[in-house]
Amino acid sequence: MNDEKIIELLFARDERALAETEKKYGNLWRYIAANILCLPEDREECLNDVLLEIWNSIPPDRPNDLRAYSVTILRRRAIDRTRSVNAWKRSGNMQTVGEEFLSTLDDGTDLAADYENSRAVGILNELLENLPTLERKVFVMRYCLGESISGIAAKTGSSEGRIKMMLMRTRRKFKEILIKEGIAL
Amino acid sequence: MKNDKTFDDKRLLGVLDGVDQKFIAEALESYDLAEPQKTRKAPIYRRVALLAACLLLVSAAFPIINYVLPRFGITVGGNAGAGSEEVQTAMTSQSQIIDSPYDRSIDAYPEGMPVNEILEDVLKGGWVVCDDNREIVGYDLWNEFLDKVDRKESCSVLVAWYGILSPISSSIDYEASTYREFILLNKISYNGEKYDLETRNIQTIDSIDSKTSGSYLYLYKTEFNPSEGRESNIKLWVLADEPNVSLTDYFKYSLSSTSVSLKYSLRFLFPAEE
Repeated sequence: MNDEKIIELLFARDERALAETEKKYGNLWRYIAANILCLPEDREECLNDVLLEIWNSIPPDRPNDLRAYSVTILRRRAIDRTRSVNAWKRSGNMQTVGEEFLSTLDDGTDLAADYENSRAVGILNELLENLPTLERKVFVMRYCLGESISGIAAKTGSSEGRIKMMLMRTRRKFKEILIKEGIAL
Repeated sequence: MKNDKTFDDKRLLGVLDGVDQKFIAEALESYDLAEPQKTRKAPIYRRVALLAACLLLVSAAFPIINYVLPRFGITVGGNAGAGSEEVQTAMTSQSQIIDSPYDRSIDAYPEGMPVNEILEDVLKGGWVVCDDNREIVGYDLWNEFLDKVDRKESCSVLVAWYGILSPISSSIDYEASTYREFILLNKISYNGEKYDLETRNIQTIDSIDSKTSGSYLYLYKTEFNPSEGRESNIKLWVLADEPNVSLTDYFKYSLSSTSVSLKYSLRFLFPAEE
């Protein structure tokens, strides 16, 4: 079933929409959830959260891309589950990914102060917009989807070394722009 | 990196959470997990038959390779003894030298050093790539180089240093008016006694805007110095042909500053002085 049909079912409050969505994207969700959450039970609960949120948010939302929309929800819900210390200890690849991302932003960079007005978010999206497609995909796969370096290399047909360099360069560009814009100290 | 950073940090979540969905959609194009994978195992008798066929093929190939082909002057595999190491060494050294941007003249880049193109080349293999000592691609090659140094064997390694020059790295010596990526290509050689450091693309500075008119450019890096208990600026490189000072001297100078990460990267240059 295509996305438009699923969304129509959701608007009609037809519960078959949830089964169809899970059938269509369940494997993808499980794969990405496994990048963030270690325990299978956490992942399954996370998937249920996603389905519930889709049910509650569509309508009024009418996403253009149900796959990206659902993965964004999944990522947020999965991260919510890592918020407690105990859950954090059980979290998987995203801990490494998070530390890797922060390692470049450190040195006094304080995004928290500008978080509310989303300047940093705007800067990141602008940076991503201007990146070559491959570098942008690599960045998003690593930091938004929690993909492993080897996984990204396999999916993009690149070497792991090349992927590391791409990520490092993008992080550094981001940091430089933040500093230039006066967001960092 | 500070130890109190966690993924739960708002700084990280706040930024990454706001990544536009269109970028996520684009990245998801590389994922082919939309439909459940349907796999069906072959019946057991088929798997047994396949295994038996493989064993037969292997057992038949062995006498052909060892007895039949040599009669016609054909050998497969070659001697696994003393010569193989030499071949492997030659192959390794070739992969480091042939088709290397290091061997290209600077004249090959009339528009300046193309960082992207060079990075693509060096990442194809045979190079060590460093980012201000923080990230290194090619640990195996580094370790191989270090092992040979430990054994007092002659060896060399090609190193590409990647970085971005910006106003934040400015000093009294240098102030960048624009952000510029650069890549510094080094060949570090060891002859069993001492080291030699060649730098290929010193001319890179010609393409960097500088408010100073000097013929030299210093790069600084701020590192935590455990002996002093504070951060300090360390003179990392001089990208210039300043007549009285060699690049090697500056590496020594940097080493004497003894920062954690610099020591990690530069100790292999001058281990005897540690």
